[in-house]
Amino acid sequence: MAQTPRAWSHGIARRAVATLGSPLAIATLGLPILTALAHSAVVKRDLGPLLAAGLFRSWGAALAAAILLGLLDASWSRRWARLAVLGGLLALALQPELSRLVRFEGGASVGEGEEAPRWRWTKAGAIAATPELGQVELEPEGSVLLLGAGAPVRLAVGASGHVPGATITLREVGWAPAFRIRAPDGTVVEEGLVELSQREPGFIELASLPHRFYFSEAGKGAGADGAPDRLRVRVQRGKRKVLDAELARGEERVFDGLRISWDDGASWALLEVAGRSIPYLALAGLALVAEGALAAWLARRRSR
Amino acid sequence: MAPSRAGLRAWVLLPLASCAVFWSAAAVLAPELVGRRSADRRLSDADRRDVLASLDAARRIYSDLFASGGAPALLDEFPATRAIKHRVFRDIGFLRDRGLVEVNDLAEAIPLSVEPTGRDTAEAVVYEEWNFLVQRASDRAPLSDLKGMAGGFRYGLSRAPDGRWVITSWEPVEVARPATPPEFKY
Repeated sequence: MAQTPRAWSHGIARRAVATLGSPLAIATLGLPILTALAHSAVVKRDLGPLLAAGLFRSWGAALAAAILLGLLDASWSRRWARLAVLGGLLALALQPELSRLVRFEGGASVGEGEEAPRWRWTKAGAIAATPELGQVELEPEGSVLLLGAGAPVRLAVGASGHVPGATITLREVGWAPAFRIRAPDGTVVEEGLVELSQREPGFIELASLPHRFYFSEAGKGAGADGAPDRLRVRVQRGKRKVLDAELARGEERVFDGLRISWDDGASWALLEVAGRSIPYLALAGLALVAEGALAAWLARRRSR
Repeated sequence: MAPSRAGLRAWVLLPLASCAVFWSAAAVLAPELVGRRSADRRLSDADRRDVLASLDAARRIYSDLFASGGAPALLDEFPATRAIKHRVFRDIGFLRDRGLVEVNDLAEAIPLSVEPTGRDTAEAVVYEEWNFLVQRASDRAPLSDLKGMAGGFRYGLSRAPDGRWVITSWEPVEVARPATPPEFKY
C-alpha cells in the first residue's frame, strides 16, 4: 500500500529526530564540552572565560538541542527510562549556562574603623545576587576578621574564608594616606583617603575636578605607623602632566592653581570575593540520569 | 545484539572528530581557552593601519577641540567613546570656567606598539611630544610660556559596529623616546 505524503513526511521527521537526538549525536556534541571542562579542571584555570566563550556556549546550545530531540524521540516511542536519562543530561548540559548567569566576582576594600567593606569592582552574571559580606574588621596586626560567617574567621594575607554565598580571600593590607586639595584662598576643594595598592595600582578621580591623581610610595617608613614618609604624586589633566613630584607629609605643591598635600591616613585591606552557588541543576540532572539508568537496568532484568 | 564494526567505528570517530573541530575552532576564536593569551591573536596590517589612523584623527581633533575652547563641530568625528569625549569636555570646561583656553599642539607622535587584546580590541602605546600654551579666552592673550611635554600614552581601542576603531581608554605610561622609531606599515 502506498504511503500518503503526510505519512511519508512524518516518517522523515521521525527519522531526522531519531538521528539528531540519538545517543551517538549527543555523545558527539557532548565530548568536546566534557573535555573543555576537564581541561579547565586539570590546569586549575578559572571557569569564567570558558563559560563566557561564545564557542563553548554555542556548542552547549547545540548539545541541548540534540538532547531535546532525543527527549522528543523517547517520548514518541514511550521509552520512559531513556526519557529520564535524557532529562538528566539536559539539566547537566544547561548547568554551565546557569553557572554563568549566577556567577559573581568582586573586589572590595575595608578600611580601619569601617564596619562593612565597600565594593571596588564587581563582575556579575545577569541573575547573580551580590553576596552580603557582613561585618569585616581590619585588625592592627594586618589580618581581617570576618564576622558575617557565624563564628568569627580570622584571615591572614593570602588566606580565604567563607560567608554565606561567597568565598572571601584577603589579598592585600595596605596604607591609605589622607590627601587634601585647597583653592588659592585656602578653602578645601576635596579631601579624602587614597588607598595605595601594590596589586591594583591606578589613579583616583574626583567629582569636582577633571584631573587624574596617581599616588605611589616614594620611600619606606619613617612615620610612626610604618607608612612611607614620602609619596610620589602625579596629576594629569588631559595630555598634560600638571604635577609630578615627591611630597613629604604636610608638604604642599601647586598644580593648575590648586594646592595638594597629604598626611597621616589609615590602614585598609583588599578583599577578593567569589560567589559560591550549589549546582542544583547538575545535581538534579545526575539524580535523573541515575534513576533512568536504574529503571532501564531493572526493566532489562525483568525481561530476561 | 552486538554492535557492528561500522557502528563501533562511528562511536569512536565521530566524537573524536567533534573534539578536533571544537579545539581547532577554540584555537582560532578563543585562544585563551587553549592557554594562549588574547595578545597572541594577530592584528591584520589593515587593522593596524586603521588603529593608527584613528589615533592620528583623535589627536588632531583633540587639538582642535582645545584650541576652539570646546566647539562641538568635530565631536561626531572624534573616534572615542562617549565617556572619553565627556572627559575631554570636562578638561576644557575646567579651563573655560577660569577664563582660559589651552592650545595643545602635537609636535611628534611615534607609535611604539599596536597589539590585539581581544577579537575586536587593541592596545597601542605611542610616544608623544606636545606643546602647550595657556591663553586668556577673551582676547587670546598668552598667559604662559610655551611649555613642552614628552611621554608615552597607552590607548585602549575597540572596533565600533561601523568598523571604526574608537578609543575606549587612555593613560600616561613611562616610556623613553625611541632612538630609532619602529617601522610601521601605514
